[in-house]
Amino acid sequence: MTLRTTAIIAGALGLLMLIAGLIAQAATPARAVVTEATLDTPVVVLGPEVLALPELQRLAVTADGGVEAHTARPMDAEAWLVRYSATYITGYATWDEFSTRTASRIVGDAATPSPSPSATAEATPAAEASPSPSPDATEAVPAEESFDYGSGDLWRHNWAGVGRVSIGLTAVSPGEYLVVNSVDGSNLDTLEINADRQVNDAWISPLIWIGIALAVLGLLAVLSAIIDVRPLQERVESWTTKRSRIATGEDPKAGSRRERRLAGSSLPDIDLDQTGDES
Amino acid sequence: MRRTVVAATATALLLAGCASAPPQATVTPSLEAQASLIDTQAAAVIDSTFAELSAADAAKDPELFGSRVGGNAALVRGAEYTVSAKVAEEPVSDLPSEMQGVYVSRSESWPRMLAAVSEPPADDLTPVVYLWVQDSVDEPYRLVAWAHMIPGAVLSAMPGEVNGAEPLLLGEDGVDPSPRKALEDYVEYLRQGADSELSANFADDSYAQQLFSARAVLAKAASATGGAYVDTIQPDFASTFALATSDGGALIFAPIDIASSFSVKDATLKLSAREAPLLEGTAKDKVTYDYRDFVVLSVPPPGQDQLPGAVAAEHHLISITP
Repeated sequence: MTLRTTAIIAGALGLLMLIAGLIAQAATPARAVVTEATLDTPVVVLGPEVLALPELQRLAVTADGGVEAHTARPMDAEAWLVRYSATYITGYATWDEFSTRTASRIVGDAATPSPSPSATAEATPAAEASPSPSPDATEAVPAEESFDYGSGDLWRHNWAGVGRVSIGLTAVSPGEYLVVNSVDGSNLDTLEINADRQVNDAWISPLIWIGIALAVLGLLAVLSAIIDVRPLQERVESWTTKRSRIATGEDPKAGSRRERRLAGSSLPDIDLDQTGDES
Repeated sequence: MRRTVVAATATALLLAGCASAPPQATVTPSLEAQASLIDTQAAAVIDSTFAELSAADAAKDPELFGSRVGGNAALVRGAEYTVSAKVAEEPVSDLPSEMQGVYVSRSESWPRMLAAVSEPPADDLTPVVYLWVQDSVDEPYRLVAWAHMIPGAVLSAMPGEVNGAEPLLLGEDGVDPSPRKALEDYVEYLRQGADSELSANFADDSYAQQLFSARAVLAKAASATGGAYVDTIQPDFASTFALATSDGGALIFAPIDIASSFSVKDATLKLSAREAPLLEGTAKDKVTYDYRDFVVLSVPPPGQDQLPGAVAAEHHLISITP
């Protein structure tokens, strides 16, 4: 295999590397990713293990009316959550989808408690009589109307918004739950979490540059195989010969180094009998 | 076709290498602040309590007690409103809202408590110890009792919001005596009086001394007319809380119900101007004073040469019945 053939093969590989690098660069996913989930419960919960994920940056929850967010100790939040239907965000299934579980509770009318199953079933419509998430109901119910979630003494930090609440997740202390609920007890709309994901793209630029170098090398090898350079070689050789005056037989210039070299040794003549001063 | 598949596979592999897999939630970090209430929560409870109390004080209306004042505190304050409405010289007691210490537990169950020690309400008055109780996660913390500190008494240091004080069972044997034993003995000491053998088990306190001296005077007055004076003292263990102190001792927050009956023979009792507004009915030859007292007992850590004793206590009259 000649040098030229080797260079052509390297050039072909370089071209493939260049194409792959450019495709990878064009298709590299963005570092900032927003994952969204549709909610159909009045409460959404993120546990401390999810909030501890370093990629998570910000959370936003939307609803038709007011939205509140709180943090609490795990045992307190779990005790509070027993009474309400809630969506638990347990992590990421993919970057586009959360893994979730839903706990559905039937909140009976506290004024008519009954241990019988039938009475519990009858009490369910009373719970549903709370503000409905349907657009018609939203128009009919004032935004200020609030659902009785009981005491808020368990909440360590609170945020509130109308239609949307957004929280920087660094504000949540490690080990705490984050609980978001609609003010009026209706279902929340969406949950969005902004995250900074790790993108392994450090290899793309070197791949492109090495590919370019090899492709250029291969291109030169191909060009050298296609173009007849013998006239150019001949001109170069003749110019080189012309520069070499030995070949032309011209006498050296008087006093030039060439003349002295051709004349022989340039060592000075020394009389061996001559001695130095003796005193 | 094969080339397309190969190219697509290669591209997919390249893209798969670009973005990392989504993170997995596997590690649960430990809680930074273990206490059931952090400072801001406790401050919110205290502030809203005194806002509610101020509104009720201004109107002298116990009906204005809502979510923050309840239990014996509401009864005691209501009685003060009744008396102050009839007797100008009897204002309601001064309850400072500025706190010099807040005691929170790291309780994980209910009911749970919050205690606070106020700044002194005046130069000649000792700080007030308040007790809030939350019955369940859905209920607010309610102020249920208060008592002035015993002059000269010192409250032990307590853990802050990071750790919270360890709630102790009444039968806790890590302190000697256990909270239940200390309260039982103290109540028995109050029943038996200054001459009780149990008096040697407790440090002197002005609350017990005043109770004993009042008992002696009233018993003597009743017996002089052929009547009797009887104190019936009952602890409320279900509403008693105990917290471990930083030095390994315990603080016991105990409501105590006292019914003091005073009877005479062949005579009619006449109540003082301060007591008359609290009389429910007409006094004849016997009345019973109902008190809702609040006592804070301190149990020293094991190995220390100290006696348990009351560090805060107050005798709260709420009603008088014939």
